[in-house]
Amino acid sequence: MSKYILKRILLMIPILVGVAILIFTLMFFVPGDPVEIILGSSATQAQVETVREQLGLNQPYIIRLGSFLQQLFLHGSFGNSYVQGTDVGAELLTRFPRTLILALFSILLSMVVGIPLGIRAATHANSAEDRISMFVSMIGVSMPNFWLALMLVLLFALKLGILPSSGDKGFEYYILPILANALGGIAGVARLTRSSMLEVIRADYVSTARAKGVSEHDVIYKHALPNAMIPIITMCGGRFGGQLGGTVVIETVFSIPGIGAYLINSINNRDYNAVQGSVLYIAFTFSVVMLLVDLIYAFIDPRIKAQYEGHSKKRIKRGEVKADA
Amino acid sequence: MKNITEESKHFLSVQDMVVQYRSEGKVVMAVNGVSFDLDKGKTIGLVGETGAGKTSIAKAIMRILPDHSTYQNSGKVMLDQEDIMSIPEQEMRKLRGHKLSMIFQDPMTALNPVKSVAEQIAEAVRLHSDSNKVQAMKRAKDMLELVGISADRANEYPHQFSGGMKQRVVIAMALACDPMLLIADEPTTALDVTIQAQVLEMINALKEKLNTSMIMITHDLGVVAETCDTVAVIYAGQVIEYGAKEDIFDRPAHPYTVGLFKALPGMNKSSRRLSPIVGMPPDPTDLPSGCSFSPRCPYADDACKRDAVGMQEITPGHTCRCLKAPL
Repeated sequence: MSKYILKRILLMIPILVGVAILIFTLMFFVPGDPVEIILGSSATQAQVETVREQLGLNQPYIIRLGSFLQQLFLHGSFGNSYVQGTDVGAELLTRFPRTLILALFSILLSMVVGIPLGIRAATHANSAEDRISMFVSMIGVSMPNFWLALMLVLLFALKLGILPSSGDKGFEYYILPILANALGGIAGVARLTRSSMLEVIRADYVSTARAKGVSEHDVIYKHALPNAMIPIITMCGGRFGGQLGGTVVIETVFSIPGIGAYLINSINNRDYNAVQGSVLYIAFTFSVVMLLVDLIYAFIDPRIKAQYEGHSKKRIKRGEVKADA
Repeated sequence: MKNITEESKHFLSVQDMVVQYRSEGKVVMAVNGVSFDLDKGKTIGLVGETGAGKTSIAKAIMRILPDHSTYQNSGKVMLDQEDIMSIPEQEMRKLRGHKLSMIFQDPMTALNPVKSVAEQIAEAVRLHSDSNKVQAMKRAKDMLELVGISADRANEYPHQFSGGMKQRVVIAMALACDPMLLIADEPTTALDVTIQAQVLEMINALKEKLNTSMIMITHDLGVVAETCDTVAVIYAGQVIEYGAKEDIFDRPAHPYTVGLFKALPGMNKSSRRLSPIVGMPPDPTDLPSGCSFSPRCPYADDACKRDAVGMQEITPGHTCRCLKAPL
């Protein structure tokens, strides 16, 4: 197992190098000049040239790529933002906890509420309760989150006045963003859990468990649910990985200075270093989340674990036996 | 009063069991008034074609019929002087896996793929005794040894075992709490012929050792011959012939039972062709009136198609649901 993890971590290196080259090249060809944006339209040609010289933007593509990769992999630095002049890595680090809180609590809320709802719908399949909850969750899935966010602000911040409408000065500032972000997730997780549970709930081993005298609660939660978890984990992992890269809409509506807002601003300003840094950060966190998801698979399902361990273990075992003999 | 004393003689007595399912707006009449008795330590064979309602009978006795599709389930099941159809679900749960347990048809799907085999056996042990985790695991390992699986493999998962071994695990699980009644639903159907014999032998030996009563559900007359004391032939959800194994094998009375034996390939028969029973089993959503076998029966006449046919005694203990019997 540890061998598998090591292999996956090593695999991240070529992925990150690939992403670095790709995003650098893309930004090179994207039209627009950061210097003009920094200096404004009133700047003289000479001023523009001087700043370009300072930023190294008048070098040819290959030299710039080389120095970017060198700075990235040898010094572990994304460079400074053209606009703020601050270190991109440091900026990402200060923004990361905000995005993490938003993503983590949204996904936890989606699972904690969505999974039991889906189970309930599956165990009462085709009842009125099931139909109503699936109809409501259909609405939940199709509701745009910015609209939902605005409605929540209207209700809780303006009408009731119990929660702040924007900012990030404390945990209460995150309640509405998390809710707005999670409601769609809850609905999606509930629907997926329902369909996934319906598949396993009629499996023979569920009858076996009942025939052993296992209580209905344990039949559902201990025997059926683990077998239904794989698609749910896949979906939640994907959502979590995506949201760690920033939830642009939610961050914008609630004025939370997170990763998503930073990336969008950087793109608008053609702030090459900031864009490259953000994208690399996203690639890195997404790879880590996907690795975690794969490890959770192995934890849940021994058949997947056996795949990871492959045949190497068996060979080692046989070798040992021979050596002993 | 006579009825009560008669009931109490038997260890298990199933009376007028009815199971109906709902499927696409139609009512599927799977079991239509099945009755049979079973004594302590004895084995009854429920024989019939696929879809005759055998597994439904078993699941109804265990009370594990699927909630979502079961339309009606009535009748009486007396187990050890207790009507287990009328006790509350919580009481029933204590009996399941303890007093009565079941071996399922398909070993490939009967085990939970995400739990180790010992864990699955130990779960039943812990539910029905006050043993702790360690004791339950010990018992699970002993049971595995009993069915011929090395205790070293206790922590392995179902996908690491072959079909025959999985069936042994299922059997170990069913027998882990020394049940008084074992329902074996086609325990050998999914297995190779060579493994079949081993598994049957093992079930028989364990049954003898624990003095368990058994309901053997099968469509294989060879299995019946090897394991059963009495036989109930099931057709379209009804017992159509019932008696001691010898009665059924040597003097079959119902045209369907006779047909079953004729359809068996035999080494000593001179004819080269098998004689199958013509036609198909009736559609359980639309059973024929009168005798449900009448559309396929070579002896049927108008009387057979008119009214439902009752059980009649041919010789003491040998009953048959046919107007023409004995042929």
